[in-house]
Amino acid sequence: MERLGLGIAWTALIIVILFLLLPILVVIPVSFTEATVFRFPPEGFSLQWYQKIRNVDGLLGALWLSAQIAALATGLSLLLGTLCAIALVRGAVPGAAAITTFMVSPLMLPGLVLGIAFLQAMREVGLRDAWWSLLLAHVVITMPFVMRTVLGSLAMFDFAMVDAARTLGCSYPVALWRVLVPNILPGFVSGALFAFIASFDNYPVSMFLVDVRTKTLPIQLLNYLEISPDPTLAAVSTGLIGLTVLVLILCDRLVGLRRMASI
Amino acid sequence: MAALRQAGHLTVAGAAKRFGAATVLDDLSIAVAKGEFVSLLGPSGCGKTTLLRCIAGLLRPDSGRITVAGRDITTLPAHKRNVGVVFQNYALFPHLTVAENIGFGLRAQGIRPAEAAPRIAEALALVRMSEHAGKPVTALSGGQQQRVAVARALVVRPSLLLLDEPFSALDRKLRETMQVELKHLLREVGITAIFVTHDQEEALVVSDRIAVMNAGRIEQLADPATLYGRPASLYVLDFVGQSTRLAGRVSAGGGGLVSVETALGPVRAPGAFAPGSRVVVAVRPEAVTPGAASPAEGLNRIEARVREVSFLGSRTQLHLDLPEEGEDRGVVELARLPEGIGPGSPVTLSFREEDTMLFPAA
Repeated sequence: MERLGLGIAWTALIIVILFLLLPILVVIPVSFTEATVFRFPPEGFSLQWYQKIRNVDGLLGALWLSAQIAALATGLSLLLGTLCAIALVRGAVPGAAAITTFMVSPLMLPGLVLGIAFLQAMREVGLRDAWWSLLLAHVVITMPFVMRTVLGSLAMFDFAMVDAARTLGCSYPVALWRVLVPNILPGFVSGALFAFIASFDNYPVSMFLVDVRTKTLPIQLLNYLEISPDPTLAAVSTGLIGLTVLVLILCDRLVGLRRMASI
Repeated sequence: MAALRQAGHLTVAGAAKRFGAATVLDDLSIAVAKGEFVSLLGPSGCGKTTLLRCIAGLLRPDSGRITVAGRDITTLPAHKRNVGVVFQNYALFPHLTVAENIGFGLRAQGIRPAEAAPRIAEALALVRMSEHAGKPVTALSGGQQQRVAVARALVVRPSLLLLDEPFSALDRKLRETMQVELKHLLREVGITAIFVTHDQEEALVVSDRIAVMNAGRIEQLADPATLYGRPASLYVLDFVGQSTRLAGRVSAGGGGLVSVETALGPVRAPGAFAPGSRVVVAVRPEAVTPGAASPAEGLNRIEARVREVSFLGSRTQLHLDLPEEGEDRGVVELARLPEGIGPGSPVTLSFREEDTMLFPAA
């Protein structure tokens, strides 16, 4: 019986891995096709779709906007989230457990709800600028990811180290920078990675906040797909896959993926 | 020495600290002389760690004054006090090597690397860790970690060294070695040191004087021999060393000696109690000798029954059957167990009147 059960589990694992990987693996060859339609297997080999990325109206601009928003939102979340996490862990905040749950709760809220709420809120306060609206909303989107990993790292951090640094001549903020930051770096990096990705490919919240001139990459891609569904999208996707692999390799070099995954 | 002590290298005057409804330090005062080793001894919750953190600047007392070398540091933040601290689990920085840990304070104080290097080397040599300079601290044993923590605190030349339960993370055997080693090292450096501990044996080994703390106050501050031989209260007697103790009632006083009736017979002891007062008679285990010694002046004799015998190697403990529970407690230590004594056997014990202590019953 045990063998049979284990066999079923093994089979399930293999099927799921294939299911996870196949779509990604299909997109890469398609991006090099000579055909003008999205079809597998690809026909011939060409780089024309990569060249076309530059010529599609608004695609590079959207890429730049998404990168900007994701990077800034992640940076702000790291700073604010870490300060909040320190207060929650060390500050004897009344109801710390409830507040912690609240701060990671946007993870569980449907993006649509958040998007509508933001649209309403921004209108009420009279913020009409799409760029600022996107940035604010994306700080809220990214914050839970940062909070989760930073809180996890802080729980394992011995704050006596900060006291030690203080008695050795560091003021409190300097002690945090020299001792706390390097020791919870894996938490920072994995939190930042998740946060960046969550912001970069966010659709449901962003779609309420963009305007004609200010469109993030996921929205621009979907718009383009509706007009001309050619393999340019596969080329963009392949580029993003390459970028992700590169970032993961960098993170591994920096702090080790194993340490990041354990948080 | 007395004059120095009065001046006090470190003085704490009337320090009080409350956390919510709990009073952790209660109008506490202490003066420590330059170069002196003082232990703060007490159970958890007595305020000893709070006092240490107030001296280090990691906590601010609600009231009272703290001075070091005549300078008022009460409101000075921790990083400007130049008070070294060895933390309970050492709080070494795991992202740095041994040498980088030791150099951390020098760097924080803005000392140039060229100037810092010889001082780090000197500190490494002082704690005999030179060959481990480049290792990560996570690769060190407990004893080595303690030495790095001590070197890290000493390298900045603090005016005072505070040690928070520095031996609690070590196993028993290593602890005994390190206690003597550290005491010797600190004596060589000539630094003033305050140890926080709940372990009375450790306090007796490392200190010049011991402050026994109880509920935010100092119950008694004295050298180890006085503390052991002449405890000021039942609390101190209880916390430092073991004792045989019996409840009794004073039957007659006078001449500096009072007579007390106990369940095991009459005893006489030095003290000043009015007849009829309820007292606790106490005697240290090693002051007691077994056998029916010939009746002599100045000797107390009691008859008891042995409940249990514990062999401890260099000595043997007899646990006595005492008639009442509560204050009564009987532990006697003998260098050698007399023949024919075992659980259940009757035993006659004698001890000198001057070794007998009297305390008012709680």
